[in-house]
Amino acid sequence: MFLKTTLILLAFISVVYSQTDDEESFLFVTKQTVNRFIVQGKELTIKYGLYNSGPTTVFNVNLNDVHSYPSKYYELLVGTLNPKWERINAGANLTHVVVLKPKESGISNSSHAIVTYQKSEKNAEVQRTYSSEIGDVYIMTGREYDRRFSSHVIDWILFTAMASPCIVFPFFLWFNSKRKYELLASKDKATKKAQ
Amino acid sequence: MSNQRSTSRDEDLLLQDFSRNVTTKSRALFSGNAAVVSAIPLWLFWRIHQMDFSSYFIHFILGTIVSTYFLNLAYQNMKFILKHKIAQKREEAVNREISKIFASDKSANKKDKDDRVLTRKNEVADFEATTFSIFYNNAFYLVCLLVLSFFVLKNFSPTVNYLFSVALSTAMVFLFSTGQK
Repeated sequence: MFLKTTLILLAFISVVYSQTDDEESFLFVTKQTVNRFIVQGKELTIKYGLYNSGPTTVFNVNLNDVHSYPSKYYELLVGTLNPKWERINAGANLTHVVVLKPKESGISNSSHAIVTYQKSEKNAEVQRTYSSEIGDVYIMTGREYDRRFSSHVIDWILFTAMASPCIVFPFFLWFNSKRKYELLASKDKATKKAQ
Repeated sequence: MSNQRSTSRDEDLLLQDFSRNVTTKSRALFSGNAAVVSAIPLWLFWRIHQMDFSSYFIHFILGTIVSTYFLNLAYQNMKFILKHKIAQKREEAVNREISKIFASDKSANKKDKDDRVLTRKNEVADFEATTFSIFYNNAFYLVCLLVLSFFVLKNFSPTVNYLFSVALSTAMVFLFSTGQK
């Protein structure tokens, strides 16, 4: 009887200990762009969101996205592509923003960012996770962006100024002549009526 | 001798009245206007559609030449049609104008007066038909071009946009000028 109870107790304890994985935290990382359009030579904003799901703190969080945006094709304006945080508390949200400037146009693919962290301060074992990816994006040239979106008000005003003499001047000449002769004809009719 | 001269002068006036040929001055005026009106939209295509001259050089030259030629023809067609209509309308007014001038001059005879009326009527009709034809065709061409290029063909590539909008608006102006009676 005593042996049965001990064995059952031992079984319970081992089950509890083997379930420690559920109590560990897991980091969710999202990566997205805030821009509606990506244009060559204009700013591109990338936002990384890190969320610590689970009950424990994670330590030595390190995000590495240098491979997605090589300096040959992208100029880094604000922020770093390799940030580090000492800890992220349980249930905490963290965002990190990077501003880049694409140097070339065309289709570009940026892959996942790699995030490494430690689940406990004492245990140096590093957990690796990947962010979501943006996928293939089309970087349009500055010229195409201007063509589609800038307002061109001044261009239209100047065009109207250039084109109006071609229309207004002949109209004016014709109208003057027409009015002169119609007046003459109507005066003629008026005097005939009076007679 | 003077009779022969005056008959040939009458014939000349009649020929001038009924012929489609334009004088050199008229031709220069029409060609110049057509060239200017064809060239102005290029500026718009350069600035708004971002078509730079170095890469679209050939398209622009071709489009301008074609539209200049057909605009010229359209001006001439419309002028010829309008001239007769206007001449009929202005007959009375021109008569009155010439009578006023001749009222002070007692030595003039009826024949001279009639000649003068005919010449003056021709001049006035020519002038009004020319100016109206230029005004109307320019306005029609520019409106067609703007509507086609910035509304209908807005989302097509710049090359297609330019070539089709110039071709279609030129065709419309030309066909409209030949169609009227």
